[in-house]
Amino acid sequence: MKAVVGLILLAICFFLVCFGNLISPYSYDAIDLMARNEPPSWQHLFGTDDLGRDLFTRVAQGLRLSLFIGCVAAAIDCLIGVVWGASAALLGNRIDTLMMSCIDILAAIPYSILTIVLLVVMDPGIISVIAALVVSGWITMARLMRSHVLTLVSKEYVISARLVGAGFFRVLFRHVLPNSVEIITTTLLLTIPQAIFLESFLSFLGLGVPPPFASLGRMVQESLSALPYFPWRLLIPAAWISIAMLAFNLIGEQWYEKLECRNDSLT
Amino acid sequence: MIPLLELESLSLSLGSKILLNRLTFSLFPRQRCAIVGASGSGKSLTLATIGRLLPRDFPWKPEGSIRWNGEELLNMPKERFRKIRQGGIATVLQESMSCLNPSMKIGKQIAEVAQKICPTEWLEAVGLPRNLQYCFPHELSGGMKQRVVLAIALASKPRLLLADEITSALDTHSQEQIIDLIDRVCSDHNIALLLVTHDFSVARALCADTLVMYQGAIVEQAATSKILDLPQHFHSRQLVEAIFL
Amino acid sequence: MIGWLCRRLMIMLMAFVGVFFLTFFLIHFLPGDAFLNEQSLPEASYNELRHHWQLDEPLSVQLSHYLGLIVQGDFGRSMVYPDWTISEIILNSLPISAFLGFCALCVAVLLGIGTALLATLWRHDLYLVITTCIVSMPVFLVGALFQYLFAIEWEWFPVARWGSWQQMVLPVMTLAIAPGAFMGRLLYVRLRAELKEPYARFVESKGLSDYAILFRHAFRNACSPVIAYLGPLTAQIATGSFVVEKIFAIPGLGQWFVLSVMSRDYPLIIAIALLYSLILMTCVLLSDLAALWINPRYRHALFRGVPT
Repeated sequence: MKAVVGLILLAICFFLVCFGNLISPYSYDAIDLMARNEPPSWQHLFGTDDLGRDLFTRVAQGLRLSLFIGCVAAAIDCLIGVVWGASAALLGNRIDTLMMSCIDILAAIPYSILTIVLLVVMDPGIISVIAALVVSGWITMARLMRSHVLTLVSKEYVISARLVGAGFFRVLFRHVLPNSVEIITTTLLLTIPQAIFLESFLSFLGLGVPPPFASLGRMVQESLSALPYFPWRLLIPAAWISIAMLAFNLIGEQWYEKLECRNDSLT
Repeated sequence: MIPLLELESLSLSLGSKILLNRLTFSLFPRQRCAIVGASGSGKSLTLATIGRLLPRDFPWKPEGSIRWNGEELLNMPKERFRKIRQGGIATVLQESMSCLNPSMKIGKQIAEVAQKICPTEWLEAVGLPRNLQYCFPHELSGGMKQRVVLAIALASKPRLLLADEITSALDTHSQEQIIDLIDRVCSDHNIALLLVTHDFSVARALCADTLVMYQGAIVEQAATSKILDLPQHFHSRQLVEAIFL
Repeated sequence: MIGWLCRRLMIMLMAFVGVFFLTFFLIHFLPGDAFLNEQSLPEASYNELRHHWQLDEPLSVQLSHYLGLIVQGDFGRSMVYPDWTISEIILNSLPISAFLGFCALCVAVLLGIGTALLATLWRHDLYLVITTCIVSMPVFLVGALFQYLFAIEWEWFPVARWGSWQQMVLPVMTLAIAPGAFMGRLLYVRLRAELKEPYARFVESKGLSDYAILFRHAFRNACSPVIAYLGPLTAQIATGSFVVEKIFAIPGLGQWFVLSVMSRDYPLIIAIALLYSLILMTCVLLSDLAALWINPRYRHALFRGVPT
């Protein structure tokens, strides 16, 4: 049930992202000073902003950016996390302790401070934002992967593979990864909304992708002072961020519950 | 004499699958009865149904009647059943090892059964030292935890003790000790006993009567010694033969 | 347990060293490059800043000087507001943020625990759906919605600023609601798992009521991860405060941090980043310690020296 709602929401987001620009007759940066701050209407489905730019197109553009950055950052996070965690579990005690200590140290630094300071230092742009998001996001995946692989390592088929002399990569790709698909996909699905939130949070602080790219967080920040008079300018972009996050959260949770039920019925 | 516990055509089904099939027996005060059968024959389910301990999301559809001192148990309101739990029926389940709350001291767990209970009295009754009341469950061995669980069950001064596989997880020596303990305690406090076990030797040591269950139905019901000498049903024969292996 | 504590302190120290170097690297943006792109500073202030941070000296001298400055808490003057020293800015705004954060923490904990307990009693899985929806709402949406509905449209509370208790309600609620929902959900899932454990069935067979089982037994055992979450909860509230202080125009440390980031006021960024890191790391350590303390096994291991 939850997943169905989540998938519908996600489908709506994708529809907006893919076809928003095509449906709308306006461009995302077309300034029209005659039509400033207009409420939602049939000409402008979401209204217009301070410079007369159509919000529907801008939201479509911003959502595309948020989803792209969120998904790419989460995917890279999961990749790094999987490799790090699996290696730590497979390579033995000393290396394991070393790798996990690195994670513990990195995890101790508050992630928001770390991301903000990094972005202050780097040139603004999509790559910097993704890099800053990736820096602290891979920790959860690494820890989960490591504990999962530790349980796998004690299973017979891995032990027998190692006894036969299978190398590290063989064990990793043939035995570990196929049995870790569930945990990887669940964590990925639940990391994406966090990445989307973090990206919009950073844009809100002025650290995200610079204008004239429409970023949802930046739109929210620009519309703060206009809240009493033109509330739609802030509420609509913010609501779309929420919808995207909610979609992934619902799907991810339903998936997690399904896996839990399956594990429970096995035991 | 009215029977303490009376089951009449008790049936339990889950969808189309029949789990308990028209069980009928009576238990009188101070009577000790064992329910014996292989795994999956429905013994634990019978106890759980009597003690209302089935998991909450179980599609609970028992039919028939369970009477406690003449009162119908099946549709009894929760509050009334709670009163019966506090002074009538006590239950000791499987997995007694994990039956104790890991973050609460033993003495407190015994004391909360009813008001004005002295935990040390019940610890002594089961043969444990008094200072155990200040300990946590993880500091006790398996056999000691089993005794504590028994002490808690006894502290509510029940008239019937429902016991489910209480000796299965113990080593032989502890098993003997627990059997002696239950024997002594049930005689001293006039408690009726309904004991579930898959081991006929335990039934022989403790109970005068036995019910043999097979696939959810009672297939034989007689005195323990009589079943041991001359088992009628083929399943009883299998169980009796297992003792001598 | 002592071993665990030592290891944690070592990790905290190394993490702080990491932040130290990161912020030290930041100060090197003063001399020129970033400057030419941002606002131009009068020559005198520029020179004064270079002198304060000793940027003309060799690297090793700079590092030790930087360490000395941090220990003394002397960060000099703000780049963007040269009339103020950084210590003045922090001392004026930290109490406000601390108070806001503390209130939000209390409200979040009470809300989360309270709603989770009620939901467990009534056994509604709807609670999970509601908390998912709340957690999916970013803090600026919640803040803006609250401000628009309760302050602007219905005029129940003042729109912004800080001072009276009415002005406190909306910011505190905004900050507390998402972390509270997350905590509530965490507790709810744990409580349900605890109630399935064998000891819960046994306690029920003792004849205790639902309330007693829940509050006296299940809650105690479910508490541990919830208490451990208090550390990350503080971090979440701190992050949220950046947004909330901006929306409600509260003159707290978060607002200053946002301002310093937007105007690239490096000395201020460094000072606040270091301060936040210290506070948050301490909170996480304390909450982990508290979570271990609650579990009798670990408490005993500490006192009796028995390995668990």
